[in-house]
Amino acid sequence: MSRLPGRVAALRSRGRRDLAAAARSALRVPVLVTLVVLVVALVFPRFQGWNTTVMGLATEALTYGLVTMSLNLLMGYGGQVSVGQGGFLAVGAYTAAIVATHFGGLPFIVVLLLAGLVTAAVGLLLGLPAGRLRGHYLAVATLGFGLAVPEIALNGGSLTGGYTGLIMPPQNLGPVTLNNPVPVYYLALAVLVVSAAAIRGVLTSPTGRRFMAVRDSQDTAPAMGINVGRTKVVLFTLSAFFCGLAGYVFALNNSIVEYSSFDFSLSLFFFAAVIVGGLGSMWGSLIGAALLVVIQQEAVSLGGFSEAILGVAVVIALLLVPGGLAALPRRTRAAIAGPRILRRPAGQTGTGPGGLPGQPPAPSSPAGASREG
Amino acid sequence: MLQIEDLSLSFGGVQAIDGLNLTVPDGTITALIGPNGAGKTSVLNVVNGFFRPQRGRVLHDGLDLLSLPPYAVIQRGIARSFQNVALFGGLSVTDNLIVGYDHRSRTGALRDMLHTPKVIRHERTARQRAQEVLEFLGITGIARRRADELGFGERKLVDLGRALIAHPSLVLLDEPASGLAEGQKAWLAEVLNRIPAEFGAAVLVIDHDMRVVMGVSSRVIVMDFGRKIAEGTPDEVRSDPVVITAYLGGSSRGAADGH
Repeated sequence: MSRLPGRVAALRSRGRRDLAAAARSALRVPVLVTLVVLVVALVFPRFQGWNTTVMGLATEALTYGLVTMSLNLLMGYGGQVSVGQGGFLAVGAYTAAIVATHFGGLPFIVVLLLAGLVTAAVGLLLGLPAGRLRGHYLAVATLGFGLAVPEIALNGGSLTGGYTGLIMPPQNLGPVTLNNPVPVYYLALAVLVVSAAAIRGVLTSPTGRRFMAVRDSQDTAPAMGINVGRTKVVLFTLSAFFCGLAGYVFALNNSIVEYSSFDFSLSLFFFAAVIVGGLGSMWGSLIGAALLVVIQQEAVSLGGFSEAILGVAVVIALLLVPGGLAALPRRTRAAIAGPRILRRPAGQTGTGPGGLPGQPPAPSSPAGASREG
Repeated sequence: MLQIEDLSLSFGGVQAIDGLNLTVPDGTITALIGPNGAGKTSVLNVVNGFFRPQRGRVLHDGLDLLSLPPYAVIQRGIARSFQNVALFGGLSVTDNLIVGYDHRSRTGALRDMLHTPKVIRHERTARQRAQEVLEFLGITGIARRRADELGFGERKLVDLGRALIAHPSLVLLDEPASGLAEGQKAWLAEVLNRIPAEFGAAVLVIDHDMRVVMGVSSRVIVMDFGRKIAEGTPDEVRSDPVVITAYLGGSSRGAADGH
């Protein structure tokens, strides 16, 4: 822009803001780190001496990591609260067990996809009414869903096995029978990696931007051509799909699918994992879920206190790292780069680009609510 | 061309718009001014599909807009900015702009997830368009910043850019100059003046800043109490006694302080 060069320069970011931008771009987890983590995950069983207990726990961490990611898609990226994600996991797990029991000859990939698709259909049905709700009302609706699914399973007669549940028949992956914790672990890893790549694909596409646009400014999003109701239904459907895939792995890892596995504390576990890991961070979800799995495991020996310890751990994590574990690298870098970056709260402007004091943004009110002329 | 005929809108007992007639010809800048509460933003909200009027017609290029849901209006080539600059705070500036272009994408969630060639093409075009808009606005330096970290003046420009990126035939701008420093207003006026030529768009702009309004618009429409009380060129409106009375009676801002 040759015109008004001084003005243009003033409008451009300078100084400290550039530092903040540099810090942020540096924190994007590079491909290299992803590869290193993947390699560690691949060789991990070897160093555990193929210990079945540890493998089962590691598979649980991967499974819950995927559930937490699916919930993060819903909450962190879509801005829709859910405290009933355990319900989707249950639908996926029961679907896998029912299909595998009645159609023993089906290849594992078909059972896996059916678990995802049936759960997605349930997510769509839940999304139709839930898409019209916000905040606390949505939380209560998803709470009801999370509570209802295990009850339905308990009263599902021979289809769901009622009180005793269903045995998940071993699945065949080519010549390998998935009846041993090690192959199940690798399957869980593969499902997680493919799902994470798919979720990333969504997030870097028009669909993903629509999710985030609805999250950040639901009232004005329609002016950009976004059908908010439809976007939320798609969001719930996708979140449920990935959670259903996790349900298949859950069924394999636990060998038995019973209603008591899906009590309400499981949904709270995922909710906590998303918050501890950090809303809007896929890595945060993985780490948050893994951390809580370990804490829960360690707390088991303390009997009735395990839930309370989980709760205390969550509170401590949030006090120490507001914004979740995902915010840790940014906070560290910001602390090194200069304390001001951290202190300026998001949504507030320090100094306007023209050198005059910037105006704080108007509180977001529904576009339609203001009839000022 | 946007035609508004005999438009009336009320909320309960409050008459927000009362029998308004208004035309925005192609490729021109029309300003809508008036005291606070005159019903100006309500007009935009009706055109945009956010409000349903009790009476009247709104036609764009001869096609009725009132039967459309809000999210379909942009498909007819009508984009807008907001008084309270409702950017998507968690997205980068570039992504904010691209959301304004995403309605062109015809791929669903599944193809988006798999990043089919069509999706990749859309992303590439959208990024290119975003870059062009940033250059037009003179803010290429903030492309990667998060919207909620921006200064107010930058937000205003990004909001404007988000409305322009899809090359609409009509942009509705709600107080683009409010809250800007004087130097920023001058740059905004320059940018606004170039919109019809560079984007082929007509502009309907609401603002209280008379220097910006009078400097950019070829026609000015003055509203008060939901009715049109004057219309004409900036010079005609500035010297209209009805307008001066409305402003002095309705608010402390002077209508004649432009030059």
